Amino acid sequence: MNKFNQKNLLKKIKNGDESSFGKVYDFYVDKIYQFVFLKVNHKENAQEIVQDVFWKFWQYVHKPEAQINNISSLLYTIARNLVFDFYRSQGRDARVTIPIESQDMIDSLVQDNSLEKEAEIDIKYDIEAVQKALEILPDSYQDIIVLKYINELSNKEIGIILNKKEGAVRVNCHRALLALKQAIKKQDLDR
Amino acid sequence: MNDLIKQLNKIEIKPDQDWKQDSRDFLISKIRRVDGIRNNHGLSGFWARAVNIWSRMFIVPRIAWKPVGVFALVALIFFGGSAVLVQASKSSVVGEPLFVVKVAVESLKMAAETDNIRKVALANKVLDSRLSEFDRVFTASNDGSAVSNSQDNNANDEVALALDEVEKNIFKVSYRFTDLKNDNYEDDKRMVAAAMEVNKQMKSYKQKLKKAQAEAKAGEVVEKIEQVLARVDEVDIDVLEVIVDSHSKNEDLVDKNELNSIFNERLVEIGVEAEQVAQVVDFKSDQLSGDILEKTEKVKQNIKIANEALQKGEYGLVLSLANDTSELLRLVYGENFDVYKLEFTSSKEEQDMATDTESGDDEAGVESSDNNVEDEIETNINELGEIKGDTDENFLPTSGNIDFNEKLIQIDEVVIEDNENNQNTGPGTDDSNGDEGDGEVLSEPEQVKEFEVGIN
Repeated sequence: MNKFNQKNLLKKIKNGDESSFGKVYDFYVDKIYQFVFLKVNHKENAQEIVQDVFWKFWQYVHKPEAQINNISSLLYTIARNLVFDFYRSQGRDARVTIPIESQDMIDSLVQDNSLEKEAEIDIKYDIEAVQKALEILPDSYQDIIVLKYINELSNKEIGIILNKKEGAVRVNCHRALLALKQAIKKQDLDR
Repeated sequence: MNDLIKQLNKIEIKPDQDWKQDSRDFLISKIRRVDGIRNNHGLSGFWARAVNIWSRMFIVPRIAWKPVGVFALVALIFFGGSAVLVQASKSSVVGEPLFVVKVAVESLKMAAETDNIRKVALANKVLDSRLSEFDRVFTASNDGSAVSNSQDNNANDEVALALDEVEKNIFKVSYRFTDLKNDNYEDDKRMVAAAMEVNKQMKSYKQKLKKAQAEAKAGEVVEKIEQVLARVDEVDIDVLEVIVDSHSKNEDLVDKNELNSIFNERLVEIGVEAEQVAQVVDFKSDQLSGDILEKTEKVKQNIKIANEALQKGEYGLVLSLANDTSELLRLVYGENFDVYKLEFTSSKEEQDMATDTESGDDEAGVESSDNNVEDEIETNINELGEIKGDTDENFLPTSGNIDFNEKLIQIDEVVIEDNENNQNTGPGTDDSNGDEGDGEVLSEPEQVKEFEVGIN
């Protein structure tokens, strides 16, 4: 979705055009769902939050003072805030105590059908380890890893979402990866 | 590291197709319904805005606010907007049930206001109120009463929530001020007075926030305050532009001494930051790119020229140089610089720590009173805890030549270990011997004893 399209879409949404809103929804819903799911680790909660993200987006576009340069950044910012609200409403520890629906998750995580079955088992295991390690990282590192390496956003977009300078994002990416690596190693040792 | 990135790239989670379609249909029908309400209420002007604010707040509440919103709405209907409820909501802070009433009252006041200057003043007043609330929440969270880590986390969440509200209202002041500028307000005197007032307020907010930042214990709170400070700075620059512009048109509008004092303080502030940058540059000059060294040199020159311009009363030039310099400092920070800064600060603190520990031992040897020694050791414990975490190996001084990545890993290990310890133990528990924490708080002599073992 290029900038011109974005501007056009936003203009139409502002004028109340439902089909343009539908286009934005269709284009971004998978990505936003992925981001939210990795943060809350619970299907129904993720669905509720994602629905709320798009509703908030509609509301925000209609604010007279709204200045939107990038739809993607706005959606992720809203999603991040709502996840934060969710944690708060559940109590901070909720994220840790929610059981991981391991099998469901692994099934949905592994998409590469071309792999041999044995290799697939290894990847399942690795991805699960990565996922579990992600959970114990501080929020700021989690955000960076999910946005940068899973949702594959640019440093610039991440900077807008996290309200950081591009350089700081670059530095934090490096640190977040090191922290994740350490967390995986630690898990291996504990196992 | 590349393998890890590849694994991360492979993670792909997709929602159910059925849910996607249902959710889409639900959202479209909700849009139709609410738009219907909006278009059919047949109100205009103040009432339309008031109803709009009200419906945004209560018809579609956020997940976290759902029970609060419903409660507040029921309460409002019950009391019929009674003065008692409004009065009671005045002392509420974010997260409390009556806070939503307080915000609604503020929004209605804003909607009722037509004069742009008064709107700025009102937005500033609301911001002031949010900052006082943050102050209360922050003070409560920092009083050390939390006995477990989950309590600490909750307190940090509350602080973060209060800071979100502060940031949100800084944006509102900024919008209102931009409206005022765009309105080509004719009464320059009132406009400058409003700008001066906002500048004064921003200065006081900056001081309060910096003080809180220095006292904050949690890294995320420190970072969030940094963000809010950046927002304050942005508003301040906008305001200063208006002041300088008005002064260039009519010198009588702004008192010269006041203007001198404003810019002098700004230059001092930038000078302090530039000095910190220079120290890090000296520390890491062999690893920094020529570009950073050039920027740092340019910062020094800019400050010098800005000070000269200030003496001559060329405020436009001072403002532009101050802004350029802040931007240069930001650019310097963008290139791994904050990591170097962290490394520099740790190294400096380790040196200070080593000196303190030595002098502490000496004093113990020259018969200082037991109480004094214990006080000193306890201070050292606190300092060490803040800097490096609580593991024994962190008490040992590390070499200044330690590998950069290794150092990062050490810091991150501490973060991870802290997280784990936080789930099991409260502050003051003894985990150094490998026992599971049981939440028992050690008495002071026990803490001192443990520290002595740590050093030896």
